[in-house]
Parts: sequence; C-alpha cells; structure tokens
Amino acid sequence: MIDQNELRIEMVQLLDENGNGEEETLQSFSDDLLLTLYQWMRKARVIDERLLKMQRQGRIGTYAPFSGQEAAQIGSVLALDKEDWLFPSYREIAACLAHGMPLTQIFHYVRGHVLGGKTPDGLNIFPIQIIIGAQTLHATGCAWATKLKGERHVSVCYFGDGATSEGDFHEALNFAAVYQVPVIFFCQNNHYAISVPIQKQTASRTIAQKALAYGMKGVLVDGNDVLAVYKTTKEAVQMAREGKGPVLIEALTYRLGPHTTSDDPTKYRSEEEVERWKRTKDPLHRLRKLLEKRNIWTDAQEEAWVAQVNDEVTKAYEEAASVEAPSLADIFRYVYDEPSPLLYEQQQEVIRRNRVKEGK
Amino acid sequence: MRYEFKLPDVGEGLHEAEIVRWFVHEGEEVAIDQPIAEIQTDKATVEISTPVAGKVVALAGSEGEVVRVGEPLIIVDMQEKMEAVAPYTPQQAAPSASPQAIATLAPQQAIEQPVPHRKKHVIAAPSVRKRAREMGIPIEEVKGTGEGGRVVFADLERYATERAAAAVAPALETIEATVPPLKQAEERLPIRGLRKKIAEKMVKSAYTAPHVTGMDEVDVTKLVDIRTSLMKQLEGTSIKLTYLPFVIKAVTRALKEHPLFNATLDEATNEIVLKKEYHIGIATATKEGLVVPVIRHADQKSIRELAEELAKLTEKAHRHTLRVDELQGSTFTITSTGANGGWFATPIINYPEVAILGVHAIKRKPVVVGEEIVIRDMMGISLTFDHRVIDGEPAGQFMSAVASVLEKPEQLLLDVR
Repeated sequence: MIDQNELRIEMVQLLDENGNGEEETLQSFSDDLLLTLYQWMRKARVIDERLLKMQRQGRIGTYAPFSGQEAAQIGSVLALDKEDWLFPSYREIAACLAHGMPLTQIFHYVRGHVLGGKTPDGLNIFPIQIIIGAQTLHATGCAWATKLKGERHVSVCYFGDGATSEGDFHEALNFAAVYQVPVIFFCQNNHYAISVPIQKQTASRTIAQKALAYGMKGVLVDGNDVLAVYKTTKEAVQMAREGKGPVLIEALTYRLGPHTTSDDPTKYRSEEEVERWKRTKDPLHRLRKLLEKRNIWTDAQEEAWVAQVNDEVTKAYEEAASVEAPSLADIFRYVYDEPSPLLYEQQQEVIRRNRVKEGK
Repeated sequence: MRYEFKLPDVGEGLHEAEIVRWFVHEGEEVAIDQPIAEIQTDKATVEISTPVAGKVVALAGSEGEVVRVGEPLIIVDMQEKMEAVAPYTPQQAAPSASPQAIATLAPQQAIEQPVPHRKKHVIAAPSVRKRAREMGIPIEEVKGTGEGGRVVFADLERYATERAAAAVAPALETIEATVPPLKQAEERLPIRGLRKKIAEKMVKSAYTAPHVTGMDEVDVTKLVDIRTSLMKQLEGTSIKLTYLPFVIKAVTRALKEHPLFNATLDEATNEIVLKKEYHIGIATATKEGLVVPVIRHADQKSIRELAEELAKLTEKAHRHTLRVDELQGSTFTITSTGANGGWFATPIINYPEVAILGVHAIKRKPVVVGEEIVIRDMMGISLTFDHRVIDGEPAGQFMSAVASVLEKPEQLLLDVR
C-alpha cells in the first residue's frame, strides 16, 4: 500500500522570514526585478486597504480582500508573458492588476457595473470567476485550444484551497494531464475556505501532492516568499510552454483579512494566529528587508510610492464612478463577440420593454 | 459644505448596526479614510472610515445606540470645496441610459396591463399538477402555502375538503360542530408558562450534570401486607395511605447514612454542599405539567403525618394553589411513576440536587427465595445521580439502604420515639 507519509514533499523557499537566503540564489535576482516585485506588492496592499475602506464607506459593493497573499499573486503573475491567459477568482485583484487590468475596471467590478466583467481588448484575462473552482475547467479548455491552435500561450488558473474539493477541480486536472495541455493550476492555500480550515478541507498532507494522482507535476512553494513563487512559476510555465504538460502549484499563504466584507473571521480563527502571520510572515516585510540590505529602497521612496498609488486609486475611483450605470440591455453585450440568436432575441425584448415603460 | 455620511450596508442585506466605539468626537478634524467608528452588525464588527475630510459636526448617537442603514452616521463640515462623493448604488438597470435606443415606437401600454383571462402563473411540481388534474381541481384556484406560494399536495387536499364542505354547508350547517376536525399533518403548541420552565430546568440539569442511573428490584411483599393492614385500621378516617410515605421514610434514613446524596454542587466555589436538613421534593404530575412540592423536615415526620401532608400538597398542586415556599428548598427528590408508569426509568435530577430516586410499579413476580421460586410483590426503583459528585459504588450502597427499609419496613420501628 502507498502511504502519503512516505512522500517527501519539501516547500520551496528562497527568502526566509527575515529576508535571508542563499547568497548565490538571491544574486540571480536583479535589483530591477526585486524592485518591481516589491513595488507591485506594496501597490497591491495599498489598493486592497483602500478598497476595504471604500466598502465600509458604502462606495463599493461586497469585496474580498487579499492582503497577505500579495507574494503569491504578484510573484506568479510577473513570471508570465503578457500573452499568457489568466483565469482569476474574486480574490485575484492583485494578479489581475499586475497582468495589466486597469484599476478602473476593478472599480467597475466591485461596483457591480457590467463593465467589470468586460476585459479590455488585448488583455488575456478571463472574467473574474465567482463560482468556486469553475475557472479550472475554463483554463483547461483554453489551454487545450491553445495547443490545438499551435499557440505558445500558457493558461494560468487561480483558485483557493476550498476549490480543490470541488468536482470541477478533478475534471480540470484530469483532462489537462491526459491531454498534456499547457495550463498551470495555481492554488493559493490561504488555510481557510471562508470558515472551513484546511484540516477539514482535505486529509492530504499537501494540496501539491494531489498532482501525482493525475499524473502531472506538483510543487509546494512558500506563498509568502515572492522570490520562491516567481522562480517556481517561471519554471512551471516554461515546462508547460515546452509541451511538457500541466503543473499544480500550491502556494502556502494566509489571508490576513476577512473572507469578504460580509465575513467575521473572529468566529473561526484566533487573534493570536492572525497576529503571528502578520508579525512574522508578512510577504512584504521579508522582501523589504532584502531591499534594505541591498540599499535600493528607502523610507522616502516608500512614502512617495504609497502616495502615488493612493492618488491613482482616487483617480480611478472617480473615473469609474462617473461612468453611467448600465442598462439592462447592456448585460447581453459582452459574453459573445457575436451574440447568439437567442441572446439577441432576449436583448431585443428588453429594449422593447424599456421603450414601453418609458412611454415611447 | 456639510456632508452627511450615511451608514452604508456593509454586509449584504443589513438593516442596522450598533455603534460599538467612536474614534472621533464632535469638533474633531478628520482626514479622508480616517477611521471614525467601530460598528457591530448582524454579521461582524467592522471599522468605518470617513470618505471626506473636514470637521465633525455631529455624531449619530452614543456608543451602544443603533443606527439604521441609510441614516446619517456622522456629519462632516468640509472646509474645502470637494467633489461630491458618488455613493455606491447597486447597479440596477437604468432604462433611459440604453445606448441601443432605436427608433421610437407607438406607446404600447397594453403590454404592461394584465391581459383579461390571462392564465395565472402557478408554481407547483409536475406531480402536484398531475394530482390536481386527477382530482378535477383547477390548480390556478388553489392557494399555495409552500415556499413562495408554491402549491403543495396539502393545498390540494385542503381545497378538495373546502370544496366538499362548501357544497354541503347550507344543508348541514348544524351538523358541522360534530364533524371531527380535519386531520392535519402537524399542530404547533407554543411552549410557555410552566412547560417553558420545565423545559429550561430539564435542559439545565441534563446538560450540566453527567447523569448516571442505577436500577434495582425490591421485594416489597412485607410492605404491601403492612400497608393493607394499616389501611384497614384507617378506614373511616380521611387519610389515604399510599406507599410514598414509606418510601420517604426509607429515603431519609438512607440519606442520613449517606450524606453525599443530600447535597448540592456549588459550581461557583467548586464545593459540595452537604445539607443538614431533609426536605424531600415529590415530583407531582398535573394537567399543565410537572411540579415538585416539598415536604420539609421529612425525617422528623411520622408515616401518618407524611400521608396527610402528601394528600394536601397533591391537592394544592392540582388546584395550582401551592405557595412558592412549598415549591422550594428540596434537598432530594422522589419521583413516583405509579402503577402504570413502567418498571424502570432514567429520571432527570432536580438540579442543583445531586440525585433523584424513581419508584415504580409493584408487580407480583416469580422470584428465587432460598432454593425455591416463589411469588413476591416486586417494585422497580431507579436512582439517577450526578457523577461529578457521586460514584457508582456509593450509589449502589445508597440503593441497598433504601431497598433494605422497603424490604423490611419493621426497621422503621427502631426509629420511632
């Protein structure tokens, strides 16, 4: 009999909690790359905190904060090519932004505007998925299409620990491995599916090991170590691009905030636990330490950067808020390039009814 | 310019929130996004920050007060001219904004008006619709009681019965009262008054004290004889002699030998409180529910006195005239399930006491005495005890002490003064 305890699963970590690591490995990261990674993470944190406040001010709708998961999102996305496909869930705001999504679109999304689901042309980002795990199938399908068309793009699918208990997860991974399609399944294991702790989510010691059952490669990475995430994703994407099949990446991380603005996390986890992650494992903290050691980032720079991002947020919000509310007829517009006959018919019916209501 | 910051719905469908803490006070200058208050909603306690900068002119109320969603939480005097903050409104269709507006048509109000004789939209499962057809019931006339007005099988039954009743009503009006009520799937009785008190007490006891029940059979042949004989002597008096006075005597005697059973557990101080007085509660069934009148100093009363007091208390229980002091202060409780109450039970302790004795039916049974099988009068007894205070072995000893008196009631003579 095979026993999971016989598996040797090691977590990839390049930068420890105090910003230390193997000198040789760290030297392979240029100053520019380190700064880009850090600035994106810092920017994401500022945006996340602003969005949470704006929800509490009634300026945006329900919001799912991602603070604590910046390294997992930014590290993985910056390892991609611009043309690679992103399949985000609602918590991947940072990943979407770093892959090129304008902040105004994020505002449309969190304000419930139909434009929030309409990715600007030229961006390979699928609409943000709310259904848990459903995007795993979309990613596999897209990767299959990529393979059939002979393109070199990789599809990267983001989901959480909870999604791995969904049937979609199984179907997507199985199909992807059987057909050897270029897809990366990127699981941010943030320890809780809303209130369900990982211990109750799966009896597997890791999510990464689930890859073995599908006959694909799996890897466990410290999701709060942006360098480890970056390097691991880079390698996985490279393999997928070369036709060596899909990879399952488990990034071990922690959501510092509530599941959404409607959630009260104190009901299912202790303050001490949250404090421990905040104090010792904050992904921004350890990279900042490294930057300081290299003397490439100062408090003044940080202050200016935060102020700049804050301005960006304010401007993007104002821009989004000035866009007129959509009409019911608009909801038919963005799913298909060419509407299906049935959709078209429905849209026309809505337009007719609107006219009647307005007495025209 | 004054800005009224209205409490937003911060958690999908909230109506109000309680102010837990103010971070600002009237007259204070606040910056954009500065935390102003902590509020508690049905879902969580959250921090609210201000969307504008300026001087706080008014707060909605003091800490602990409730603010409704949409009502002002604070009013800020904005010194500088600021762009109005566009509040978030759930994006609903705004018909006038349709970019697709094409050539106007003639008004077609008719579409919105109800079409005469238009079929009412009925929500019902196919199986219900089929049954309706079979019963000849026009389903659109049936009032649905299911979720969202869904028509369910019970609605069809009700409709059919009502239809039948309506058909015969004029002729049979006077008979109506004698027709048994229609059988309903369930009936709901509110739990209140005595029932509620009993429910609360039982829950408190059952979920506080770890209950263990021991059971035994007692040979009460002699007791039956004695009681029969005493009853003859009491003929002509108003005294009704049951077995209960004997049981009470047996219990108080056993309690004196085993003081741990005449006790309560003080959870606050983590102490066992041994009671030096013997007040016996008697669980008494009434129409409204169980009450437990108390015989005070039961150990100092004669069989005759106990019988008289029992009769009086039982009578008062049925008339609901028991005084509060007659219902309080018991140190140990006896529950008698009577002739039809079964042979054993698992009584629930009259909390905060630590044990309760159940005495049950007396039956003539074949038992082994010496080397012979003989017919004896046997009684079942059950003792429930709080295992935090009492272990199994002392419980067994207590039960034998009670049984010993019931088996050889002449022992009671030894105590007579």
